Amino acid sequence: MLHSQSAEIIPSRWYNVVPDLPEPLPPPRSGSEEKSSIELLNSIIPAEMLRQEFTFNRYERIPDEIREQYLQVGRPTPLVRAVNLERVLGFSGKIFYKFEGATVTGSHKINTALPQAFYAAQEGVPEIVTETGAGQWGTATSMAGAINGLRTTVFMVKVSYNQKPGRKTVMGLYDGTVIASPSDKTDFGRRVLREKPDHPGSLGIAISEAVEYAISNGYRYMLGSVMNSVLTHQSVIGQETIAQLEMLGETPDALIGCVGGGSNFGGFVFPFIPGNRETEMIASTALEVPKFSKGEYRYDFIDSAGILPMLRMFSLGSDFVPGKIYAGGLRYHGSAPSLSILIRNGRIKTDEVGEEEVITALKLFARTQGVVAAPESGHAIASALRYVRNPDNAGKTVVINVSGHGYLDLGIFGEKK
Amino acid sequence: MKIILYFTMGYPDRATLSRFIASIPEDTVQYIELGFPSPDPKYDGPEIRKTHAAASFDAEDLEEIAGVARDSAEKVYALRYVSDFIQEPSFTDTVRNAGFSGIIAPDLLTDYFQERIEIVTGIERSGLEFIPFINPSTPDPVISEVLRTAGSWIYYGLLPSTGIMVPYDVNAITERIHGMNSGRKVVVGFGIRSLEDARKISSTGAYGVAIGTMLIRYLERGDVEAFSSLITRFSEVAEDVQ
Repeated sequence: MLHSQSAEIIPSRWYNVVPDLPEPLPPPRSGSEEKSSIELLNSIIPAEMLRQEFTFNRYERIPDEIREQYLQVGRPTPLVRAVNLERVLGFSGKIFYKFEGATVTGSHKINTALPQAFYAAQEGVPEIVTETGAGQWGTATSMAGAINGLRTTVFMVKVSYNQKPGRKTVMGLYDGTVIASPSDKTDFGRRVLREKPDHPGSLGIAISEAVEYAISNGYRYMLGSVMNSVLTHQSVIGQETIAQLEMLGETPDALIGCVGGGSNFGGFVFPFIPGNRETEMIASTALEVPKFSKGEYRYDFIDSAGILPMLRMFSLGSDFVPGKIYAGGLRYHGSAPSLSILIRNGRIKTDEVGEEEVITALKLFARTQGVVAAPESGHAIASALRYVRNPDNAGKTVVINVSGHGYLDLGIFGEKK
Repeated sequence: MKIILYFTMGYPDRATLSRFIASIPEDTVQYIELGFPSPDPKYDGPEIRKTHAAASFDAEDLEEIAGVARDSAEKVYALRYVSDFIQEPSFTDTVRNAGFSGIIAPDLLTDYFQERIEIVTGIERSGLEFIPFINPSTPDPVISEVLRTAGSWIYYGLLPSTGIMVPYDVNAITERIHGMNSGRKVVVGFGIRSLEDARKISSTGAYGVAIGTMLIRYLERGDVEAFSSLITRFSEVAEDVQ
């Protein structure tokens, strides 16, 4: 069986890795002496999200309404054996890919957008607010807002806003309002623009604007990545993969995914961690945003303005502004604290891949499997190619998380490429 | 259920703090934790942070405050960040000589995880109890390990930082505390803001509740009588539970 799709595969519980970490998750720290930025979360994110953020429960029940919404947006996503890719590579093992691009919004982001919008709607607020880099998170949030009866405002990093008009259109179809960040809608945005009117924006700035906008209007802010509760929601990816591999009678030797803030990767690999020391886990990120090789493991702000709490994580600095890289979703300066711990302790390995190699990998994947993967996911594919081309890994079973499709990122291939 | 009180040493000043501790009604408070003022009280909330910044404290203060505390509770514990005492080898001797029973180090497991065994061994060699501080982010295998080295009790923090109010699930906490089944007493703190909170925590089977942030307003006002009356009310809740 190459493809499995059954509602029963959607898990009934989310998995939270915190109780299974090798060492304690350092608590968030308030960056402000005067006011607790952790307490601030009370007024900007849904209370149920806050509870899940700090819970020690290994499992959290997925509300029936959310399971129903998961089914509506295309879960379970397929697990496919990439036989054509294996053949072209002459690989003696097996390559599978979990295709999160098959959700209606085209990426894994919907897995947490739905519960967050659902919890916000339960609290009776009229609007949810967030930021987006490449546009995938803003798309997912707009869609989740629409089906939960909420208005959505999305602060989109200006460079992506200008380069990806298709994303704006999709968010608009879902009734989302998209604002280029830095913007004149917030104090922080106005300050950035005063200093540098042509600022290309960064995810950190967009987060700061979204949080400020949510606070000043009494709306709920949606968390796209990094926070533990988000990784918990994303565990549907890994749990489905486990169930699908079991149905196929397969045991993976290696799991490979890409890392921006760490949510698709954590959601994919964390459910495999309990009782498992054998499966290799490889976190692939952009050479141009070298958070694991050049970043420091320290407390740093989630956002540029320092409104949100500080987290202990691998970080290139909250003021890090990458160049106009081809994979907008990997621009973020930090990585989820739970993932950072597992990388530090050696349980999860890392890999960094540059643009040329990623584009070559995306083309090979398209030509063999027909899938136009997102540039972010291209890192996972490129790292997987490195893995299977290593003679030591002959005969192994590899699973790649293809976190999204790339139909709205075709510009990276250029006209002649 | 027992009452455990937290004060930052030297806040608001030696005389006021001593007066407060001396006013604790007899047989109401089991343990007193005395926090050593820190230049970076990293895991404390804004209110306790202010007490660290404002505290005036020297060796004479230590002797007097610890002495008064010993007369007002069964045991007295020092609470200090490892980052503040790791470069101070005489610290354990200082606190033992001042009559403290043990040390609580809130950052040991998060910031000094690799060095934890060496640090705990040092504390125990000095004849002091090591009181582990655990919270919702402490993984289960780590809890199992620290329970083996713990002194007579463990401090379970409800929240990621003092004085902040994120929702917590009493039933889940109950299950976790019972699941520990360690033979150690469990004191629950970080987030107890009212008698009602204490009553809720008592239902978890915890040995005691630790109160700190909510005492600050009485210390600020110098209102000893209201403080003493608050402690009496807490002890009534505690007795109800028993």
